[in-house]
Amino acid sequence: MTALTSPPSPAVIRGWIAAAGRSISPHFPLETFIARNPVADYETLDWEEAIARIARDHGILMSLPEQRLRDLHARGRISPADLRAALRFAVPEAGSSRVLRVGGLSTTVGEVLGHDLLVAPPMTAASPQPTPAARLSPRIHARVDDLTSRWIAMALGTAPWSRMGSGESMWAAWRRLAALDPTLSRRVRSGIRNSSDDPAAAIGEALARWDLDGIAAESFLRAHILALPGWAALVRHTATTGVDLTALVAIRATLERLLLPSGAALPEPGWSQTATVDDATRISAVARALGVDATASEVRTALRPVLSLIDPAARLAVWQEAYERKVARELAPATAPVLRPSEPKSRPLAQAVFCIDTRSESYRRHLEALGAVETLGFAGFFAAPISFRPADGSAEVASCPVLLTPRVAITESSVERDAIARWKRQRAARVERDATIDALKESTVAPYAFAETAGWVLGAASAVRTLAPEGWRALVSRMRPSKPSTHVDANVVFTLEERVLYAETALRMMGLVDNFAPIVLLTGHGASVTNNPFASSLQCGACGGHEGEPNARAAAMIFNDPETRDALAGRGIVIPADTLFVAAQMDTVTDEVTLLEPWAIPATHETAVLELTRRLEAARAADTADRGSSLPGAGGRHGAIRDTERRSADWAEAYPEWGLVGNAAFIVGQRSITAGADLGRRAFLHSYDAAADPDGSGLETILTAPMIVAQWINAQYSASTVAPDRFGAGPKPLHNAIGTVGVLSGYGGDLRLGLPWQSVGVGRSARHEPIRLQVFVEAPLARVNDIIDASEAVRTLVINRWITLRVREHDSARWMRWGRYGWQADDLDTHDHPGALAPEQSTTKEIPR
Amino acid sequence: MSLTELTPMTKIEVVVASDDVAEVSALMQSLGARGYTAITGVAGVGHHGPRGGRLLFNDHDTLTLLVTVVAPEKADAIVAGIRPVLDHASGVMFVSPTSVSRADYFA
Repeated sequence: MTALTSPPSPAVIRGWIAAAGRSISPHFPLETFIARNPVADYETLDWEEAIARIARDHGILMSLPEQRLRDLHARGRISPADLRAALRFAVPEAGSSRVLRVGGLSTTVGEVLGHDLLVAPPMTAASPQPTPAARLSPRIHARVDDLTSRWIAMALGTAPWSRMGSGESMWAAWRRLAALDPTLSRRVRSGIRNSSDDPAAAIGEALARWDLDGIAAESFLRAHILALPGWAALVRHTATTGVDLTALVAIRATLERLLLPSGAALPEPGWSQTATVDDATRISAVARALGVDATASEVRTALRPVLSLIDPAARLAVWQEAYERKVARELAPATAPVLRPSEPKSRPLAQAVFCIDTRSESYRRHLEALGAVETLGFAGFFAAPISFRPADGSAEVASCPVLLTPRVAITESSVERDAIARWKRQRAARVERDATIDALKESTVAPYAFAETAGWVLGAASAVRTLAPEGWRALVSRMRPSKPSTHVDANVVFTLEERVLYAETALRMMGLVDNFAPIVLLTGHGASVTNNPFASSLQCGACGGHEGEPNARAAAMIFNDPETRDALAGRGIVIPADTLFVAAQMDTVTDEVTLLEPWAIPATHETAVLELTRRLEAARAADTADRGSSLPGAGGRHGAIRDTERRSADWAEAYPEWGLVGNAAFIVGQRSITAGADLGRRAFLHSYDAAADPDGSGLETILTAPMIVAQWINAQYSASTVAPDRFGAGPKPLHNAIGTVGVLSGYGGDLRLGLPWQSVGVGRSARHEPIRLQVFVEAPLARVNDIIDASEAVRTLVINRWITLRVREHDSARWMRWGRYGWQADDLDTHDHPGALAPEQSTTKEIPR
Repeated sequence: MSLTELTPMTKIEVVVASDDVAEVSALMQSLGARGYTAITGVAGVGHHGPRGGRLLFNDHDTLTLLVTVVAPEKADAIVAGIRPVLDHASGVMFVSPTSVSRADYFA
């Protein structure tokens, strides 16, 4: 092998690494677990092209396997009508009635491609791009993985045994310490010592060793990054802390160069491989399905151009589309006029605003069924982009969507100075005690002595906690001092102008501009779980993976602020003087709704609040019974509420709740279009009334913020389902937490990405259906057009088909779907005319690409 | 002070998605830039159509203009490092000669 005469410069190598790193999205630490598409960078590609590229780069399919989809078709889950409609959507020629002659048979393009869907060799993903070690010596490849994982864990975790020096980069620390590693041979240690002090230059040495440049060099770097996608994703998130992808790749490439035999050479052909499909086999299979002679040259000649209309990735996309149509049909608001009362509505007891989170859907349904309470959906941060400083002195958290930088910091405090000081002291003592116990457990020698001296106490406590989790929680709760009444300072830190802006925006976005009830309940949400590293994934996504309590309190304070109300009245939104905004929080595990500042409720509203809380309790009972039966191990003799309380307190419970499993749709419109329908907690429901949003800015905000967050969540649930080994966090019982950055499965290996299997499946079966987000918007088409034109984020998702967007002007209009040629009628309700996606019904529209 | 008393430098301006700012700015600094200026919420029209502008509740999908000024001998490395990123992500880069009064801030 000849060495490169001029290896790429370190600058170019850094640029290549930054580019290659985009193949995996940043991974957020456990405390702020943010749902995100793990392959978000591929969203700039068409869905079909992305399927092919992800299969090549990651070695996985971003949909169910083709054979599995065929099985679902055979079992009726995917109907022939939906399959035909999906095919016509992807390949307009499939809708043509033109006769095609194939070996004496008269057929059509649609029929040929229909057989192709059923009999072609299923698309498979190749192994991810291999590194040189993966090709030459899997044993050494595994060793490189293992050694690298240990170093990254040391750098980013909380290893008690070794730390990087303060201010020292990971590459410098690795060169200093790995050169002393006795498990490495003298030659390797010497090579580490003599490697460049610039990690990019060290990578250049590896590229020169393997004689790689240009595209081959970029592929080499991508292969090393994607060899450990979990750690690479975490490093991307923490790239500014001295631990970056260049250092990660430099460690891997240097170890690989030194551990492989010095004379080893890469075998031909190149080491970039893609999955290939045998076209001849495919043609033969289709010919046999048509009943014509597969060996006849005229048959093969006739079939080849037809089959070239669709490649394996596009065929898989057709299956995915067909798979989704049933769900879209089930969740789509019906195309029928909504009955409206001819007389003015009586004033409801309350309007309860819930987060758009899919878990709110069933609770809202049960609450509405009790009458007198209207519900609305809005992102759970209630338009309060804040960070929050809790009264207990714990760290400030960004309590707003991760899309946003907090605009202000809200502080929780109390006028009960002595009581709050005492409460904080007691809490600090408890935190210190827990930290001491953790330090004793994790130190090198102390655990033995600690077990001898304290084991009998802690052992007994553990036994009680295991056998009677609710009793244990009640005991702990009684022993802890109660928190004094507190308030937040939203009306101080936000200027009047900001308060009015956010208040008006929120009200117009959800269409709540008149007919205010005496009580408007702003219901944030959180999930009370025990011993769950992924607790953050169950909290409010609109609050950055935290509980929504601070935002509900801040928003209620703003809406109750007299100056804000006066200004809103000047802008056409008159909130009656007797309307009180009340902050609350729903526990999504137990469905308990708690008023957050009961001490702030005036006597004038006590009766109404009491009546409302009775209904909230009744809705809780109904909802826990409704959803509780779907949880593994349901059916306790003490009833659904008790069962959820046990799940909340039980430190051994793998299924405290189902989270957002099943999420599939994002519906924007008035509640009347979905009221009464059981959507099975599968839809994000965002209230919207176009009449209350005259300039369309509210809808733009909905589609550029809440919808984006919903798509991130949707993509993560799908990725964790279809590729649990690569983009899922694996089974909970195997989790080994690495500080707060993530979990491993067992004692080593890659950091696990995505959601635990217990968040998306039971046993070997997935409970979540990987459906791309189906977005339904009831608003003027022109308004949606303007948003698509103006917003690249929305445009990319829609045009590249990472979401399916359907729009209608009003409740009796047909849904129009954004397709390849602009808006198309999409008659989801009609089974008899499955091919209603007829291209001739298109209204052509130029799309900037 | 006349223009001839200023020190020649190279200005590199990059428009990238705000989500990429941390990565690109870190890249700039790793390749010798002493600092940079970030202007958020920039907007315009390119060959992909209208781009950018401010969004009320989404800082992530807006565009940011990163400006750095470096000694001419450092510019090649920074340009070489950023180009592969722009090959894979949307964004544009402008490189132009400029002059500064406090050369020690940028060298």
